[in-house]
Amino acid sequence: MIAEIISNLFTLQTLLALAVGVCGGIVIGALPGLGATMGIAILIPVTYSMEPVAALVMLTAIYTSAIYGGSITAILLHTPGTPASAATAMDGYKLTLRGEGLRAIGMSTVGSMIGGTISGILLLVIAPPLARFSLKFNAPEYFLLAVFGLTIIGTLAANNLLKGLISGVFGLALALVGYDVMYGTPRFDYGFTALQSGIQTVPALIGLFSLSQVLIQAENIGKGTDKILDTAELKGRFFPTKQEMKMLIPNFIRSSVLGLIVGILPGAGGDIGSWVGYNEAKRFSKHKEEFGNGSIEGICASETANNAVTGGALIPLLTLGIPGSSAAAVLLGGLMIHGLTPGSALFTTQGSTTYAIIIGFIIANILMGVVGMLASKYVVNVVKVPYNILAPIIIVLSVVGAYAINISFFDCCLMAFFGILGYYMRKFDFPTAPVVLGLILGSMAEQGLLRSIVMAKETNLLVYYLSRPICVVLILMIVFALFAPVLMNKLSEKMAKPDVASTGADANSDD
Amino acid sequence: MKKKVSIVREVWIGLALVLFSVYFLFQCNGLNEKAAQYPRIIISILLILSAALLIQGLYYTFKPESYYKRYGKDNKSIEWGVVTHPLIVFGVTVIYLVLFYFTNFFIATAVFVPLLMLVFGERKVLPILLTTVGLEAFVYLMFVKLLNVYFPL
Repeated sequence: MIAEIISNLFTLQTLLALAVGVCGGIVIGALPGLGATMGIAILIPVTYSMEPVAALVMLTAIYTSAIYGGSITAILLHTPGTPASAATAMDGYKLTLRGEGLRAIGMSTVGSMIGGTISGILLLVIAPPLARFSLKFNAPEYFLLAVFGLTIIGTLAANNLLKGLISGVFGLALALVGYDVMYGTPRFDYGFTALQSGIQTVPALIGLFSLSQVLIQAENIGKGTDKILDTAELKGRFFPTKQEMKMLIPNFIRSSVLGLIVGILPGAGGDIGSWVGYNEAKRFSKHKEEFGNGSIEGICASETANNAVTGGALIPLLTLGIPGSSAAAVLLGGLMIHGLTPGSALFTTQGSTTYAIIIGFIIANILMGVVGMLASKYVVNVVKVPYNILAPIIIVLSVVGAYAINISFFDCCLMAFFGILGYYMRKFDFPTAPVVLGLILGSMAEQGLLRSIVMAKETNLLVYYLSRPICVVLILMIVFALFAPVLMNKLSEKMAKPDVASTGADANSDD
Repeated sequence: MKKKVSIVREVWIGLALVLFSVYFLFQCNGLNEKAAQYPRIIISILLILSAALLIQGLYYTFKPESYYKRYGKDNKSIEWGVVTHPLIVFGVTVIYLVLFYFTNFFIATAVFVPLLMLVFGERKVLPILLTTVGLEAFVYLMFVKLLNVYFPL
């Protein structure tokens, strides 16, 4: 198996994909308004003809690198590329104003690299036993798992519980289109041949995440451009000193573990991870007064934690098919396109592919650190690329991506429909990630429920579910998920998390 | 003097979703009884949640202070001025798709890119020309040559 993993990983295609994923991810993350979710959505079509390992290594590299890239503009321009860097913006920009911007970027680079790498190693350790446990799952458990995934991503991703749940159920309703999975009857296709096989996930997610983002940015037409920093002004040392590193070891470990745990929780992305890490670092710090005023410990905690979230989010994704964040929901689409179905098979029959992807993810985090050390201070220049140029590039690539999957013009129209739908959903505070998840998990939920009805025979369905221990645990988790927003609100109030908009982050981003 | 009641947007969204759900519940009647079982469950849940959103919206309409406390004053409605540019961009995208259908991808892109850049305020010829040519070349090399995606000519 090890030889197979190495031969899968060290091919020219995979290494190129790794480099493109890391560099592309950093640039996408640094551009305010663009994030990991959109980056993955728009680049999935590029991976169609790639080997699964190369494709997934590129997509996971974009995921982790975009989170790091967001910190560069957060520190230098007080404009976080992604909400995951909002905590970093507070302290990083204060350091930039004091002429210590390079030191802040250095800390962010080292923290991101360590957080991402540790989470990758823990992914390698935790995922296989968890995947073996999934063998105990049958139709009733898979149905409840789909409901749990939708409930928690719907409740955590939205400000309004009802809207989050509506988004998830709307996604399930969209998944009804096409032949039904049990009886082969066509449903809601209205005579369109293209709809008989159902609504395609990739055009839907490109529309919801990419086109809708361009429409959101179009609101700023004519409002002028952002401030630009002269990179020649960045002086001083980049790397933390030995003494600083020694002092920060507990911070690195604590933030990595916290980020990983937050990442495992479905729906809780990098933004929550960074705030949790930041808050705990402040609690343990001997220099609490520095937090919010240019604390290197604060940058270390938030950046280590938000990159650790990425590995954590991959754990439920690879083992149970439940994504830990919006970006992971899009990654699920990427996995399925390449014939990789989450579950125990990923770690047994397809083990050489999966382990190669995970090791590729770990290498991506290290490479991200190296690229960051060499080029981060120049990456800030990408902000100079105006939206006049970015907007047509994103839309053209969205159209090509939607078209290329089935060589179907209908899919381009579907992408445009989901683009405007996504725009209005975001304007009306409906999260878009649950729609994609509902669309992806729809057939799993349907098969699970209908097969459960058959398996229950004469027994009452609820009694049958309650007679299965894993189902009882899952039902309790669903009930907990419904109350999670209340708990998260209490947690946010306790941490006095500032409004995302006040830190300059894009509040409409799904990352 | 009577106090003016301003209906919050959740009322309209809830109402639209209720109508959408009711329509599709009726559509289920046209399906084979067994095949309609699961869609009925899902659409009924959507109907219940939509009705709850409608009721929540009505509550906020008559208790606007609760709404402001939760979402802020700016969130109650969307001004036309805010969505004008996004709708123009979407309109240009629709024109792009129509052109793509009636001509071909590369001709449509050659019209769309300059048009969208003009909408976004770009007035210099060189960036428009370079972006159009560069993007066409990238799509051709990446998708047509490397990934063998077929674009009808």
